[in-house]
Amino acid sequence: MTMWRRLNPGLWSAFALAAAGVAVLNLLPIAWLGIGSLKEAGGGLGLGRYVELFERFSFAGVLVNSWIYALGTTVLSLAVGVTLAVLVARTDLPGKALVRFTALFAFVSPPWLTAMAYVFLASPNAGYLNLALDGLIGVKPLNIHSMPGMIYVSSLFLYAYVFLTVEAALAGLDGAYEEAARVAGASALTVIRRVTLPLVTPSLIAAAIFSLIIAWGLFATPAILGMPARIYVFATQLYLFLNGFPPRYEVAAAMGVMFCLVAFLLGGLLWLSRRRRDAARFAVIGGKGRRPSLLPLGRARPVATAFAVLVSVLAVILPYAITLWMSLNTAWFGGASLKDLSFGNFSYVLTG
Amino acid sequence: MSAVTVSHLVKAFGAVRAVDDVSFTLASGAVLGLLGPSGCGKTTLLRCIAGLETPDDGTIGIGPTTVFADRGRVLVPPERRDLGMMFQSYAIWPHMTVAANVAFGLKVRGWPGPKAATRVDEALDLVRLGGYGGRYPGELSGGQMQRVVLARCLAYRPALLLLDEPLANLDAHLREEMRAELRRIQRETGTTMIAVTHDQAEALALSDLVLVMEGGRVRQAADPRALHARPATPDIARFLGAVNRLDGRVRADGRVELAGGGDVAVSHTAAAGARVALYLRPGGLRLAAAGDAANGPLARVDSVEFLGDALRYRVSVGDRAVIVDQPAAGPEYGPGTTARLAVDGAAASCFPA
Repeated sequence: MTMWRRLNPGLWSAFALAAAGVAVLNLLPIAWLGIGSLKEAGGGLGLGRYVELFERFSFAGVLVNSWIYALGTTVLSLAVGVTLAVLVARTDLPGKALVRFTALFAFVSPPWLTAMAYVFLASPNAGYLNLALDGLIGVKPLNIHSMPGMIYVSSLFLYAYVFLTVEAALAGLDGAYEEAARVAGASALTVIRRVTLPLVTPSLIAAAIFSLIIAWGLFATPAILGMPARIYVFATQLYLFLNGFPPRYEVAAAMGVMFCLVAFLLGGLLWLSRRRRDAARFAVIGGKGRRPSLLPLGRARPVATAFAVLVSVLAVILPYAITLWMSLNTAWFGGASLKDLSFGNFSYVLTG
Repeated sequence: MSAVTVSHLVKAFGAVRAVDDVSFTLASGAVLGLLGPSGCGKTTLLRCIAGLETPDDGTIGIGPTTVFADRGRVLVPPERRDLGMMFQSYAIWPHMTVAANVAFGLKVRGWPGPKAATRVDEALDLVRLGGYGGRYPGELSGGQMQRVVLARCLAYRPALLLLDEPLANLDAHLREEMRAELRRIQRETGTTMIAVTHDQAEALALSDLVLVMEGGRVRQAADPRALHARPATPDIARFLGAVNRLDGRVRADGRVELAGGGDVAVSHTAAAGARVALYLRPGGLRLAAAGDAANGPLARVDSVEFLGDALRYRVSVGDRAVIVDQPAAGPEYGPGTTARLAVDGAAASCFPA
């Protein structure tokens, strides 16, 4: 206490400096954005940019697209990430190291790399997978330049975030909660549904909201996959306003304000989930708990293993392999044979 | 009818045989205490019976059902063994109300709501927590949580109740109260129980049969009184509180002559002339004035501790440290003085030395 008092003046100035820094770096740009978005073409302030945004640029459609994209990505990421987290943390799934490694790798991989790889793999006409399927069954069913394609590719990146968050929470959860439910007569699936997942609810909510926020901000994936098909989400529409001719800074500012509203909404949700009064109703996640004995998957083991391997292949192995292949390939798109491989593309990129 | 039959059970973790050839049968309605120091395999044995660990060999039968046999070719999962289990950490689900916790076992058994609610109320009444159903576990004290766990285990009336260190998390006075409560509830419901504990008083008070385990093996199986009176080995005697060792030799007339002086009548099977060791609890010894005609050797008083009703002396007999508890009333022997030990031969366990 005495030390606190003695340090008070110094701490005060440090706090003041930090607060001023936060204000300048965060609030000032937002204020400028707000003012810029209200500037009318003939001088003065008004809501004209917002009206124009919705009427001329059909911004409502972009909003809807953005929400479909963000929600779709979040739902798919949760489904894949939570399933894998439960499999790794609670069952005798083989190859857990591969699942963990894939998740880390997928999370640090740049989203544009996966998007680009899937252009090679699943573009409507020349994608390798489409060509292969054409040879097998006579149709080219895949189109990566679509909303499902965007959601799919983004989930291959975001599932890793969900997996890492939820798996960490499960690892810290005292196994006795689940064992007590087993002994009380609940099947393994009932235990997961009624005890395991409810107890890690905070981590599920956090993973879901962060996924939404990250998906709203993703640019590379919707740019590479969506723009060729004229599917615009927030980030790509903003890019067009800023880089079109003439650039429409005030419309972009209006859009930025709309984005801030969404961000505040999601941030508010996150804050609400953190300050729940009934925090005691979730298990204390600490180092004290013992892991429960691993659940034998039994007859489900091959299916679960295939799922885990498939995610690894789709999220990391296939994209990296195809990117490497294309980088060495000098023949145009898909002309694939070993004699076409060279470092020509690298020397072109490096020497110009 | 026997409620639990375990025979030649083996469970190894790597090179360590945590449970090593354990066999016992337990009658329906009886309480078995698994007693031993930490790491003796008692919890592993309990978890094997629960189905939370898979043994390597042996068989386990619960009621008429064989739940493990044939190295796992017969293996009934925990949820179909009709068990209740109390965990040391309670493991009350914090996201459910007390009533929902207690109703869980009924719900997964497909009981309809109103019928289950009646049974939940009965179970809460049994553990004297009537009216607490709407609360969340976070609002309960340690003793109340213990009662919730018990109600949760008993609501669906399992064939067998397993308890893993059931009282270890309670403070001393609550522990005794809960111990009596457990016994009362066991009598009222007639539930067969297996309780793991490292506390000998708990094991003796709760059980009809005690298995003393060490290194994965059963060292002694006896009812509490027999165990208390006749521990099978010096280690068990020490574990049961007989921490004092006095050395001696069997005389021709069968009495044991103690090193340092005195002789005592003890039940033993040793031949005349054999060296023996007597193990005694602190309460089996008394201090008397050095000049008194007590039956034991002289001892030097090292320290005295006042425990309220009793005095705890730490004394030396030769080079052996000995602890003596005696009523605080009566003369007190200060540190540094010499006193004579009085040995209660009937309370001593005698082993060949």
